[in-house]
Amino acid sequence: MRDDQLREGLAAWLAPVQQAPAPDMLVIRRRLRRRRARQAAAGTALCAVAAGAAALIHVSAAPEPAIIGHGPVAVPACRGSQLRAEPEAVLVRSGALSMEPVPLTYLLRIQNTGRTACSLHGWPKVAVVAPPAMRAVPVRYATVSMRATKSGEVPRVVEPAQVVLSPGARAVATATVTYPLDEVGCGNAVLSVTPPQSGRRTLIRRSQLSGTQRLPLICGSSTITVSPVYPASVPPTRNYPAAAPRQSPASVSTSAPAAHAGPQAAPFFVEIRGSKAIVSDWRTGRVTAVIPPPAGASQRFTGVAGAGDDRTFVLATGAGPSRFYQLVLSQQGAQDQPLTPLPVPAVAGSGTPFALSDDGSELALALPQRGATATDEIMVVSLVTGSARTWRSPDPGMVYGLSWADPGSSPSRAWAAHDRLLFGWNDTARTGQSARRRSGLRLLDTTAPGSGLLASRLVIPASARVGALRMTFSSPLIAPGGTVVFVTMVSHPGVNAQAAVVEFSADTGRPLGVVTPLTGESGMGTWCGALWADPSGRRALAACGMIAVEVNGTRFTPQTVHFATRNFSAGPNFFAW
Amino acid sequence: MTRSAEFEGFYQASYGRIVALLLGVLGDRQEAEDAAQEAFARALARWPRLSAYDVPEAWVRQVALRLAVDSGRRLRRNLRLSARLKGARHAPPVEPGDRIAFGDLGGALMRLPLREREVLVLHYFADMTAERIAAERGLPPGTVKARLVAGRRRLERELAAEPREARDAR
Repeated sequence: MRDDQLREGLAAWLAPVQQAPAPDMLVIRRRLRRRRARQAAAGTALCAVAAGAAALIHVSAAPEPAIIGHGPVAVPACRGSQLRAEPEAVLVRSGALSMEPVPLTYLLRIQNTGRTACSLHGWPKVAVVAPPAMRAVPVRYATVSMRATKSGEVPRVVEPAQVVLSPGARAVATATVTYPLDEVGCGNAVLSVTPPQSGRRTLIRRSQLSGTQRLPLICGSSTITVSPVYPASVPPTRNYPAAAPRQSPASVSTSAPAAHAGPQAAPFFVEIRGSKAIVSDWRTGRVTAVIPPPAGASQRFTGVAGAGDDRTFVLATGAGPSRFYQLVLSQQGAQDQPLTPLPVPAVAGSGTPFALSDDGSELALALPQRGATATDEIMVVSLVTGSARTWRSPDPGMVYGLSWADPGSSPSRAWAAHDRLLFGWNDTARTGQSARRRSGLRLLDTTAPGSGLLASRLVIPASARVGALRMTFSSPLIAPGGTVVFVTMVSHPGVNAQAAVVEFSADTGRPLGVVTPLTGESGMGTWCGALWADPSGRRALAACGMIAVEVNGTRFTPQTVHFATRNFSAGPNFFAW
Repeated sequence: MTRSAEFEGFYQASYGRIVALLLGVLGDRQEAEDAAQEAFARALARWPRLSAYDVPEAWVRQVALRLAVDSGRRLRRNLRLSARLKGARHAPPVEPGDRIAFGDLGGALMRLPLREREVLVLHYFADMTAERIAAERGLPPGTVKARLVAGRRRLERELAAEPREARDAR
C-alpha cells in the first residue's frame, strides 16, 4: 500500500465523522459544570487532609514555635547528633480526580532532639535506597530557579530560609514524587532522608499504613523534588499600619503597606463563591466575613478587585450591566459598614475584567465589543467624580488581564506621578509575526492626553520566551512601583506542558527570573500566577498549582496559602488580594 | 467578538477533526466523542489563556489523546474491542451514526498496537510530520519514525493476511 492510498483510505473512513456537526455548546458547558463540581469536591478533600496534616504537626510541636530568620541568626548551627528525621512521612494527598497521575507530596519532619536551640539551614538529602533499579531516579533540590540573561539561562542563587529550632521543635520539608502517564516500572521503594548539617540517614515510610504500602510508590521515570527546610509554624507578622482607611468613595485615598512589609501585611483575600463574596485570611484559611449581595437586588456577585491597602475592594454584581460596590474591611477583615454603591456607568457585562487602582480612586474596565472587526475598549472611571475616559484602538483586538501601577508609591520613582495601567493586547487584525509585534503586555499612561489604546508602551511582547516558556495574558500583575511585571508563562506544545510565574523588568522588558518552580500544566485548571507584590516588586507571593512561594529578593520561601485555586466559575475577577 | 463566541467558533471548527482523529486511534465513536468533549470542556475552562496560543487546537488534541490513552480506559477499551472483534458474528446490529464500519483498513488498523496506531493516524490522517508528532507527544523524533515504519509494516501484514474473524471461524 502506497502512502497516498493509505491517506485516501483513512480519509474515506473518517471523513463522515469529521464532517458531522458538533454537538451543541450546552454539552460542553454541562460537562464543564460537572467537572468543576468534581474539582470542588476534590479541593474540599485536599483542604481536609492538609488541615489534618497541619493539626498533626501543631499538636505535637513544642510550645515554643520555631521562627524564621532573615540574615545571620545568633544561634549555633544544629549538630547532626541533635537532629532526628522522623521515620513516618505524612502523605499530603491531593485527592484530586484527574485522568492523569497526580504527584504525591510527603511531609518530612526534622526534630531538634537536643537541649539547646539551634539553627537549621538548607535542604535535607533524599535518596532512593532500594530497589537498586530505582537508585537512578533523579532528585531535584528545587529552590534554584533560572535567571535568564542575554547569553541564556544561568542558575539563580537562592538562599533557603534559616530556621531556628528551640529544643523539641520541628522543621519540615517536602518531597514531591511525580508519576509518568503510563505508570510503567512502578513499585514500592525505600527512601532515606538525611537532615541538613547532619550525616544521620533515616529510612522513611508512609504514616498510618502497613506492609509494603508503608513504602512510598515510585516509578522508574519519576522525579523527586525536595524543598528546603522551613518552620512547621510561622508566626504572623504585624507590620500593617494600625489605622484602617475608611473613606467614602467621594474621598477615596488608601495607603499602601509599609515598604518593608511582606505578603503577611496583606492577609485578606476576597473570593466570589456562589452568589456571595467570602473574605478569608490566606495564612490560616479562616473566613472573616461573608458578604451577601445588596438587598433588594436579584443579583449575585460576579467579580472583585482590590486596592493596595488590602482593606478596600470593589465588588461587581448582576446579570446584564454590572453595578459596582465598595467594600471596606476592618483591621480584622470583618465587614463593619454596608456596601457603598459606586458611580460607574452601567456598561460592563458580568464577565468584564476590571481592576482597582492602588489608591482605590480609579476603576479600569476592559469592555468587550461585538462584531467581527470590533475592538475591545478600556474605560477608566474616577470613583471620586464619576467621570470616565475611554481608550480604543483603530484596529480589532482583544484586551485581557488588567493591573494597576502607581509609580508615585515607590520612593525611587516619586517623580513619576502618573498612574500606569498594564493590560494584555491581542491583535486580531493581523496574523503571524506582525500581530505578535503589536500584541503583548502594554503599559498605558492614564494621565496622558489622547484616547488611542495603542499609544501605550509595549512592555513585554507576545513573542517573549524564557527557555521553553511562552507568555500568556492570564492574570499579569505589575508591582505597584511599576518596575516589575509578573507573568504566567507556559511551555507548549508537548505532553509535559509546564507553567511558571516569571518576573520581567517593566523598564527593559527583559526577564529577571522564574519565581515559582515549574509546575505541570495538567489541565486541572489550577491557578498559576502572582497574587501580591510590594511596591518595589522585591517581595511577592505567587502560587502555581499546589506550590506557593514567598519571594524576598533572592530568597524564596515555600508558603502555605489557604487559597481555593479552582473556582474559575466567576470569570476573570473571581478573587482579589 | 466575545470570548464565549470566540470559543464557540473554535469549537465548531475543530470538533470534527478531533473526533475523527480519536476515532482513528480508538475505533469507538462513543469513546472518541467522550474524550473530545472532555478535552473541549477543559479548554473552555482555560480559554483566556489558550486563546493566546498560536494553535489552540494543538492543546486540545494533546489533552484528548492523553485522555484517550489513559491506562484504565485503554485497558477497558481494548478488552471491549477484542471481545467485539472475536464475537463479531454475534454482535448486535450497529445503529446508524453510532459506530462506523471498520472496513478492511479500519479493522487492520485496530489490530495494531495503540502507540503505532496513534502515530499512523496523526501522520497519515492529520498530516502531521514526524517531528511535529514528536514535539506534541513528547517523544524523540527517532521513536516516532520507528513507530511509523513498524506500524506501516504491521498494517501491510494485517491487510495481506486473511481476516482474523475468518481464521478464528475455522
